[in-house]
Amino acid sequence: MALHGDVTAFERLYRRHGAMVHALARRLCGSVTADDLTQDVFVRAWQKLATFRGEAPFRAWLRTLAVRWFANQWRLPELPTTTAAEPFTHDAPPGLRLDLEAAIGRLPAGARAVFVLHDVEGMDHAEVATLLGVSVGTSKSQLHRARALLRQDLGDPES
Amino acid sequence: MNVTDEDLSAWLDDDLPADRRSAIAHAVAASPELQRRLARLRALRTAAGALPASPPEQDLWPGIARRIGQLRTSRRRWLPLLAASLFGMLPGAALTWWWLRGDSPIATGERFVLLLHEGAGMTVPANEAEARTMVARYRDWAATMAGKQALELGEKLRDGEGFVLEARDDVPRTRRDGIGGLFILRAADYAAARELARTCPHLGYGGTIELRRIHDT
Repeated sequence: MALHGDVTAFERLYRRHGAMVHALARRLCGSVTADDLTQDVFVRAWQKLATFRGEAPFRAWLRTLAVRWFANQWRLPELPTTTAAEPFTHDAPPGLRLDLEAAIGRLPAGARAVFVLHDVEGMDHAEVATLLGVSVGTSKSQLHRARALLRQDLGDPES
Repeated sequence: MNVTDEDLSAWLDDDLPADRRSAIAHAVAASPELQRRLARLRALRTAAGALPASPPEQDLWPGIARRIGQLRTSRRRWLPLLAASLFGMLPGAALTWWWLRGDSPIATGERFVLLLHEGAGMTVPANEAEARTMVARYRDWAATMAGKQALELGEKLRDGEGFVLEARDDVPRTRRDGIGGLFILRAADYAAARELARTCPHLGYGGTIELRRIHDT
């Protein structure tokens, strides 16, 4: 129905997938711009609906559109640190257990993007590499870097 | 055997050659320390995969609906202009008809119809100048096809009207979501027809083209 210009049907798609897009925007680009970016993605999706062929689930199509939009519009910026503690240093107070969501936000942009797409969204390296315009090898190395930094930030004593 | 965290990470992702994967599995089985490191990596990955996609604090739909509405209004504002121009109601429209009816000689070959599908992805001209540019691009393309002696017919369908006939009813067609126009070209075969159709500006404006060979009987 949405494919034929039915706004009510399109609203149902927003209700079903809006949280996913907003979470992606927040994790990749930061909470300050997440609302605006989510709106951008759904307006863009409305304009591009005719290109949805149904070969992949709508969620996957929308997620691809969202990541490409974020990457093109914002270049996945470095996010500001949200705590007083210096991130990713061995000087962080022992036993400091930081929230995973916040720790993801403190990752460097490249590592954060790969971690979110691979470990949070469940994409494989080939998909991540294609979406971000990097090689599969870069995707793998960034994922390893992200996991190591997160373990350190989360206070893993063996990291 | 030296097993790094990168090895464990790749092992966890099932992203190692079989021999290396087997070697690491044996090393992990024999080492409580490696088992701890692997468990921590697995816990991190599991926690990441379980992060909730919490909705935004405020409902974003009203803003999205407003922007979509503006798009639709803008589209409605310029479509009559586009249609009028294509149908020869604007100054300079004489230029449109010579190619639409194709007085030029037609090459031999099979006949193919290009059905120009439209939809939400179609570009909406933002102003009159853009609308005229769109019209000009279709017209220029048709002229090019005529120059190749490939153009047999080009027609723009009127927007926002028509019927879809069903067995028991004639349903008024009010949405502009189907075929917006058509061309009939002559080409040697599908490959040649596709090559011609690929150059049509319709694709660049976000539309799609259904290419079908006409069954001449």
